[in-house]
Amino acid sequence: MTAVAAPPGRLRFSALGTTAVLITDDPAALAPAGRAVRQVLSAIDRTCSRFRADSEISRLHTRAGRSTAVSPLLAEALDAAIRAAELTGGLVDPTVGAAIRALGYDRDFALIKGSDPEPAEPGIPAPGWWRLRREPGSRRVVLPRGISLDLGATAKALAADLAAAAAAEAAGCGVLVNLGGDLAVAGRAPDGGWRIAIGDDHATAERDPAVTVAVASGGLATSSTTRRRWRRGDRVVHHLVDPRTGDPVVPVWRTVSVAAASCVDANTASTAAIVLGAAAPDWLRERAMPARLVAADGRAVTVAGWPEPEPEPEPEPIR
Amino acid sequence: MSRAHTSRFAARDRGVRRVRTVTVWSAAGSAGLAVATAIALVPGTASPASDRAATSGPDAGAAPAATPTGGTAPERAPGTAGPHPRHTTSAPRLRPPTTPPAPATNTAPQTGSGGS
Repeated sequence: MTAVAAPPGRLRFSALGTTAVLITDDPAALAPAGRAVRQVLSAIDRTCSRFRADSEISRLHTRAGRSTAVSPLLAEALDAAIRAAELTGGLVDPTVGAAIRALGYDRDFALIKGSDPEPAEPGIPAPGWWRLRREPGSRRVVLPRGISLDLGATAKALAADLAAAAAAEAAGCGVLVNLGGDLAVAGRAPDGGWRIAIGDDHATAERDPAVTVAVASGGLATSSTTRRRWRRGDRVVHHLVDPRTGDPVVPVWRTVSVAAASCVDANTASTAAIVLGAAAPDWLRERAMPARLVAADGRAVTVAGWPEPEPEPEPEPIR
Repeated sequence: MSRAHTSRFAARDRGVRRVRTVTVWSAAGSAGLAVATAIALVPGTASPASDRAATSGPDAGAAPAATPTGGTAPERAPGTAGPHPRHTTSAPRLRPPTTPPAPATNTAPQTGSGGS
């Protein structure tokens, strides 16, 4: 008699303004893993949400200009954001808060009206991450007055990394945590790896994948200009802002997916690639980051070991 | 002019000379400090090896490496705005996965990744 492996456990719920999915290789471990994930995501929300007046980052803004001791989690989130900015030369920059607010993204996205007749304000270039003062070896930070932080991208990716690690420890098996398309895996992966469908929209990718890849470790993130869009005046804007101009990125790529050793690194690279535009494939190749980029016209490019698309079978000659 | 009056002028002249001397030395000191600070703040990636050919040593005349290492600012399309200047050069590089993603054909996906 052949033993049939039980299907993995699966939990889906709303968190951090998106959909969270937890998969455990051992279905019996779903409950403890789920508790661990919810605990991490709740902590990230209380710490890093710019939409909550009671979040720690909101309190940090009220203490602008003064040296402030922050929690270990906020220190880690700030360090992740600053590192992302350094490694991308400012293509990903946490000081874009004012630019994003000026575009109208000033509350949870679910509360943003699809169309606002007021034209968007002119772009506000990011003041620059280097203005943040982190005292080495301590948890003290000085946020200069007039700078507004948005840790959105890196904080969500950090949440996936931390949640996957916590869930794997609680469950004692392989786990996958997916936060709106930014995912991290931890523990022993199932045979053949975790199977991830890639698409423009995380909500439909599983039903209608453009491609499916297997991932055994680390993280995978997808950035896209096709989601979180809204109308301001006579133009459509989206949430991916070029820190250099403060304007939404003019999309060369509509979707970029990157695999990395962590979800933070994958998200950093995928966001930078969208902002960088035409030079992104070379930039990713030089950093050996496997990636799939989909141009605005639908043409897909793969780099640095991302699986090549299978060639279309040639039609049989008519005899 | 009385002797006392002359002495007062002499004392005043000595004071003016001293102030001038201190001013000159202060200006020189400030300029020196500014130069020293500028040298200290030049990042490592701005060294000749990053964007110029070497003019001496074993690599003299050789073309520079195409891509500076150490996570420097990315290349950009002509005509686009440059990224902000960097303030540190100590950050490690982005970390690729230990194994790249593998093709997974003919199997049902377990979850999806896309824009959100």
